[in-house]
Amino acid sequence: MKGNAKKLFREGLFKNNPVFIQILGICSTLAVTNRVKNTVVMVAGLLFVVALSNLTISLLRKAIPSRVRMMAEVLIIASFVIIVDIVLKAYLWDISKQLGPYVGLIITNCIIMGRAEAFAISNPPWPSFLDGVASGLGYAYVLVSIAIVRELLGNGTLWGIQVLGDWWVKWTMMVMASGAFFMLALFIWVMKGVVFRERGDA
Amino acid sequence: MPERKSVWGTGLYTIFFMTFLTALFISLLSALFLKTRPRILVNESYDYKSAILRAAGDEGDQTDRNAVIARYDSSVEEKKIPQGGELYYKVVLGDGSTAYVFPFRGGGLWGEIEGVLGYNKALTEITGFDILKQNETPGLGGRITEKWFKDQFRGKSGPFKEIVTGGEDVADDSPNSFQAVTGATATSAAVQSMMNDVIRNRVEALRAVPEEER
Repeated sequence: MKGNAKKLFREGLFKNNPVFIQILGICSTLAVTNRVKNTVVMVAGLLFVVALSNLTISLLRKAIPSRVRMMAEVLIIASFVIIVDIVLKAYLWDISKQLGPYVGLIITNCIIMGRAEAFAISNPPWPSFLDGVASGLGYAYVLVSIAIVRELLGNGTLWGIQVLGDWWVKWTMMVMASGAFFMLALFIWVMKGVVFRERGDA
Repeated sequence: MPERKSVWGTGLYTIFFMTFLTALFISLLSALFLKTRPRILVNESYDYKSAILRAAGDEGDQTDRNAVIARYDSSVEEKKIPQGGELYYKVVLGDGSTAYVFPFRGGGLWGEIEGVLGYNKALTEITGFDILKQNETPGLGGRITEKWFKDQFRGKSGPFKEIVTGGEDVADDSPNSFQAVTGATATSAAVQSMMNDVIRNRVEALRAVPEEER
């Protein structure tokens, strides 16, 4: 079991990383990474949804008729996303406004449906929960790394706090959509071309 | 499972299962929704109400959401301009002064800009200006939500014939000009045309109404 958990985390974080290996969840990777604070809330939301929907789907896997399993999966995923949306609206109003439609769009994040179909529907609850957490963390560190670079270069701030002085010329492109494309491409290149090649995994 | 082959197994079970699952999750979500609803309603109306109060020149505390909403409810009256029927707000502040606030919207560089513009009782001087919604370039046009940009309108009269460029340090004393956001000429011009539209049409129309009927 312990070895399994380790394997699940290695898969989710590196070998089968949802963002830079499977290239899933790109919409939010591009859209919400111009502020670290928004990104952290977004990845926390996704982590919550993917872990709990994996757990729920796994618990119900023997009861779900296979013909309607995708309907059931979407229903479960959507419910957890709405919970996140309601909680943000009630308790973190400003961030909820900034994230706008992207919270609701977690429903269509392929990582969640992907994990449900590929893992939770055919595995016991605890490994499914861990698989969800691993995939969520794999998504989280990629997004947060991209957000740190984008906010720092594009705004001179981190978590909204000024860290670079007045001398810093803001790279406005970094906080716009094009900056996200460049950063994601660089991230994939560094991970696949440099890190993985050295380890002989690629 | 052998019973899957029966009538129950072929169709009814599926229908029963989906109905049960849907009912279960909808009940959970409804409960959560009803529990958080009062909080969400406060949040949703807070932004708009506090913007109207600020545009009217209200200097009171803006951090306590419930207090802002209570202040709004006791001092703001929604009215319509007789000519054209457009909405404006009559605000009677704590110190007894009256202001009129006009909501406006228009096209910015990337998307719609929504805001409010306040005038004093005689409709000669701007008491405040606030932006409620914008999708301008972050760090450039998006800076129209910064305090220095919004506050510069206070005390001016408009319509705005000129936008002063060259940064925040360039002097701008005319009642008919305002300072542009450097590097965001299109957004600044969009704000200018939106404000002029309000001033030339709605403020002008309200001026024609006798003061006691406003």
